[in-house]
Amino acid sequence: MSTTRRDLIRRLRLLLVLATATTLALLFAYRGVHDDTVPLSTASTPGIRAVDTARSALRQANAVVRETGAEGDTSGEFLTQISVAQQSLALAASENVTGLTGRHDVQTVTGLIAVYSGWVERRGREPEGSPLRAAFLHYAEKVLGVEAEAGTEGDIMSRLDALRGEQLAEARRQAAFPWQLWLGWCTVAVLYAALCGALLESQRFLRHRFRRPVQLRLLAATAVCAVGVPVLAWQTLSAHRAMTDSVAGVQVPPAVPDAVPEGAGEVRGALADAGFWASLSDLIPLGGAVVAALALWGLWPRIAEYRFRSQR
Amino acid sequence: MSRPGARTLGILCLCLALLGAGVYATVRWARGWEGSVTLLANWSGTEREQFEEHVIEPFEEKYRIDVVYQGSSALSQVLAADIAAGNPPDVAVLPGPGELLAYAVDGRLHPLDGLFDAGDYDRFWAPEVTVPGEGAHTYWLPVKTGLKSMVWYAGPAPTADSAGPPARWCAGLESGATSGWPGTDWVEDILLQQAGPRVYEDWANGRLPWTDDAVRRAWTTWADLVGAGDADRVEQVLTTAFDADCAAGRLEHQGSFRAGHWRKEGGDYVHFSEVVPAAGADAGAWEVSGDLAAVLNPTPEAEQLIRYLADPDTALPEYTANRAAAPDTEQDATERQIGTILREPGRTRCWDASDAMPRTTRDAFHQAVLRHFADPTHLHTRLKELDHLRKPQNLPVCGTG
Repeated sequence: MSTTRRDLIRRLRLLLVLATATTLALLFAYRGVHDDTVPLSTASTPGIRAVDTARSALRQANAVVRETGAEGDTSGEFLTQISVAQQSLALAASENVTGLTGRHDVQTVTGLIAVYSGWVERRGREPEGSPLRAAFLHYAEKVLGVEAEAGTEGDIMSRLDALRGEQLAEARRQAAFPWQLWLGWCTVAVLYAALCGALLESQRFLRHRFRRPVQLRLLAATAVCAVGVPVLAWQTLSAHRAMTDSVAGVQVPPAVPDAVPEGAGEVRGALADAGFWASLSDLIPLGGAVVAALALWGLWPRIAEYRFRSQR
Repeated sequence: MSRPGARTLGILCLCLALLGAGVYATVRWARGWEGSVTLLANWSGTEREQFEEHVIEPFEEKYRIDVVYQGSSALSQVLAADIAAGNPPDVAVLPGPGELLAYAVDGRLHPLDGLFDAGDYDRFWAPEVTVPGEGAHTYWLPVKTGLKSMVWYAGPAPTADSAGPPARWCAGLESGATSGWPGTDWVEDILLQQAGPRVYEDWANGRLPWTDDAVRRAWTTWADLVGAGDADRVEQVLTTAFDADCAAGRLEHQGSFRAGHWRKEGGDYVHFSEVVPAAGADAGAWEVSGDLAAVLNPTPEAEQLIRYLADPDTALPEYTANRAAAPDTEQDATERQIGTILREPGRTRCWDASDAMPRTTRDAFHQAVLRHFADPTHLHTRLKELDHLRKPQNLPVCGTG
């Protein structure tokens, strides 16, 4: 009695199981990386850059105040820099990288900037020689925290440092490749190899049993697997490298103000297509369904054929 | 009957272990967090860590309520922004009743009636405040209190005659955003000791003009005591931090928060009335400060937190105003004495007046002391400016509970 029908059904089942398992594992592993690329490129790193911009603007504002005596009018440039700081903080708040805590830090800093500006304005109203000029600048700089020790929480710079630290921790988490993802991608590799092997073995079995050089539908399924999974894996590797580079780029606050926009441009460039590649995760189940359908379509006619033969 | 085999027993054990793990996980899930409460205060650094360790964490553990603590050094601004945006914290802790009274009158605070026994506190710590259209209710609860009217020293106890020249006094008016407040403490305390609690209460409540002779005398006394207008002294005092080190042999007019510093110097304190020139017949009242908790969002979790803060068994940070609380055995003799003064019936205690004033008056008061210290010759102008901001209010400022 022929065992061909049974062999075909066994192979079909194996292919369906492997296609489904590979698809699910790939979906989990792919999303594990790409779900974080868009938040990293559109929220976390811009949020960190916004905090850097605010810090830089406040330092420049304070430098303007320090360099100008009672006769000079500091209001124009000072207010411009304060405005830059306020707008950057509004951006940092809207990115909402660190949730309620971060929003609250931004609120506190905004309140402290109002206090700082108040001291600076009072200083500006004092005549040259008044001891209050130096005192008000001293109070303003205490509020600003230009020389504050690390760990203090009461001044603007310490608060911004703390906020930046929280944002950076979130960005690091997004760019990380934890053991769950290693496990996921190892599973994908094993299942992918098994699926490709099963497809090739089925092809060989059909050629041997039915004397046909190639089964086109199984070949198409093999091609989808052979091309699709490596492309997605390669793209994931590139995205993860870009994420790591982006986080490395914002690791240390820029030393000069001009470095802030340059750094922001580099991050944007590195993760320019992050949205497109992340959206491909929606197509992974479709790809898996196509592979399963091709396997079914390729084997089922032969199984059906053997139904009659085995009944004779 | 045959006994089950080793394999069967193994499977049975595995099933039981899995069932046990399932039951444990289910119980843990069922006993998960039961809500959250946002708490806004201005504590940071060690103060915040201690509050979180001794108060928040035990509360979270006991009631399974997550406390989202927001510590802000721009408390007034953040609270005003939160309220304006319609997103206030559930509970806010503010230093002093002045700002809270304004929020209560605006209908922003929710009464705490029934959440704790007001009899455990001197009436002025947690008073019934009459809000038009709402009747009389309790709107705040003292969480942490401090004693003022203290002069710290090491060596022989100072008197009004032996206090010495201005240079003997450690003075620092810098305190970042709120620079100037140490000077307001001086002026307030001098007025309290010279004119007595009744005049002090009228002044703090905006019923006594700033240009009144008693108030004017307090300002001039302060200027004489600390050397206002002396160029070298002015420059140094204006930029010295309020909590800068003060060497033994010098005097410091500061509150109970300096106990640790003076303990290291082997120091002690006397009541300010023993040192201030021209102390009045009613001298001897204690100026006090306190962080007050109020509810802006009356959720069950917020009310539970208020109940917890008022519980005598809760280990609140130094010093509690709750008379039912047991004495803290870890405190030294000075700290125990301070705690007693803050709670003991029969003593006259008065709020730090600037903390009891409306926010705009308080901020102008801070500015005025800085200007007066730099140049005391324009006192009348300063007082007229402050008097323009005077708004009468009705707050229990002094109490003898």
